[in-house]
Amino acid sequence: MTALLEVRDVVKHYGGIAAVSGASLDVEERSITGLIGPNGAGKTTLFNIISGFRRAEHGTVRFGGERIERHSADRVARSGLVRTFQQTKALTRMTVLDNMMLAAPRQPGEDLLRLALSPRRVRRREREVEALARELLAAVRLGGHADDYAGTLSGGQRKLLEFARALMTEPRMVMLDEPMAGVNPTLGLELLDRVQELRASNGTTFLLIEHDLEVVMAVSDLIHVMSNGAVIASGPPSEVRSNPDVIDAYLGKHGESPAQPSGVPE
Amino acid sequence: MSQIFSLDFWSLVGAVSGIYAIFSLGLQLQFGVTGLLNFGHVASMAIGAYTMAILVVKEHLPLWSASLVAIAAGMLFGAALSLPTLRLRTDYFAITTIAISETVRYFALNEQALTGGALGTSNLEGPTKVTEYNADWVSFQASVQRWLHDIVGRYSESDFAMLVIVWVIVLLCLLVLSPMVRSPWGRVLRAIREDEDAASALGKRVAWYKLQSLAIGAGFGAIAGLLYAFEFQFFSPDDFDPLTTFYAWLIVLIAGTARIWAVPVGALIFGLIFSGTRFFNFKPFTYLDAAQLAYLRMIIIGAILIALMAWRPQGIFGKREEMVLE
Repeated sequence: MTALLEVRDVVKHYGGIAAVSGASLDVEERSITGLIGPNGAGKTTLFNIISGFRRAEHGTVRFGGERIERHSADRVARSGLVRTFQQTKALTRMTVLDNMMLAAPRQPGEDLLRLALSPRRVRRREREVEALARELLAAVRLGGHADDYAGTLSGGQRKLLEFARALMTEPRMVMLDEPMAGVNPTLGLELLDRVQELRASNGTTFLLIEHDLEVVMAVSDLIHVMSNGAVIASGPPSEVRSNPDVIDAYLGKHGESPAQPSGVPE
Repeated sequence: MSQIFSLDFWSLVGAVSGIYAIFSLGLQLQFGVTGLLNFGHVASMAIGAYTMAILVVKEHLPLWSASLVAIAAGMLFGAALSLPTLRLRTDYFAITTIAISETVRYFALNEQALTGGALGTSNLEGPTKVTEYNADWVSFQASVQRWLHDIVGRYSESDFAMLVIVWVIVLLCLLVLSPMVRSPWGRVLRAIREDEDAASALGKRVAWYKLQSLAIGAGFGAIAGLLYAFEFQFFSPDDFDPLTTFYAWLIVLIAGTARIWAVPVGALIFGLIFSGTRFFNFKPFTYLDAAQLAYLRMIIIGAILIALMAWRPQGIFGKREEMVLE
């Protein structure tokens, strides 16, 4: 069985420094896969390449069997592979509800010709989308903020909004870049419940960058560990946890403490 | 002082304000809604006016078809303006647009055989023959005036007819643009204004929407250029200097960004300020000559802009809370 997402030998330099140097990883369909690694390991750069925001100098990315490494970001998103950002991108001077409704696919009203020719279909789709948006907002406890400007939300609430907004696109796979950073722990755990629920109900696949190793280990089927721009280990949480290379990557080669990586401070 | 009570004079002020309202609606779409810093908006006005005049005088096209071609030409120009947005964002795009609009003006100034050069449209067929492009418009305006005469009687002067025509077009523009901006299409534009990466991450074709916004905005600019040409019956490259673009910016900022219906109000306020200074015929303004008074007008407009930025940066109809969001 081939993986839903296949990344092979991806290389990317920023001004002579290799941010990603030959990274390869697979994400199986319907899996929750973790991507961990110390700061500067190249996780976000790899996300940017997969999602079409940056071009790799070398290497291939396949999604659902199709080569996408040269596709634009919007095209990647339309093919069902949607991402969130580490630095949230709430559309601040739009309402929370507008943020959500924007993300919905198949809105004929986004095309001027169809907006003019079939206004009723546009309105019908708007009603459907609004109902779905309100439902999802309620699920991330933002229901009461639907009509507020997104710019009034706190950092954690913006993370939740961005997560819910990504789901509005009806994605086949979601890449979450530190979805829980700044989110209060209870809500963060709810978010993870939601991830697991969606995998079960819709078969959605998740790739997750997260610094809270306890959380990643608990929720992921498989974990890829990046260090210095390469994937140095892949496997189930229990295996990765005791892999000496991983411990080295987090603590440095001569780390004195034999502690688990989960005990490593940020 | 008698001007103050002259219907003709205020009709002129109102008509010019209306032309600026249409012109500024284009900028409101481009900047207020889509966030594109277009400092060269006047170029679309120039292209609209010149395309029409050249086609009428040199190709003997009927005024109405020439006007439609002129609007199309303006929109095509706007679409082409979207090419630099593919690589340049915000301030870099702004610098490029001002350069492009100056290029258009200098082209009109120097390509005498095509545009009549510095002498303007009266020179379109060379200095030996004074040309006009607006015969059809004059007769149209006269028929509107006759029709209005049946309704308002003696008030129906020629300038008043122009005022009515312009504001009917303003209203039509508002009725077209306002629902567009409130539609899902407008929502995508606003998302691009807020964060274009977020918009592409949600699958929106950002470049295509910027192109539409610039093209449609330039279409409004071209319509304004046509009306400007009809109103003054003559124009030259000097009418399209960068200052004209910044009048539109002033109007958009007075109105409040992204507020479509506020634009005509902003344009009327601008028109009042602009024409009001000519009534400064009392001390101490009598010490100034006409040229100095014209500069005083610029100073007042500048001061208003500064005051607005200091005390009401959201414009008259904007929402303050939008200004403080990050």
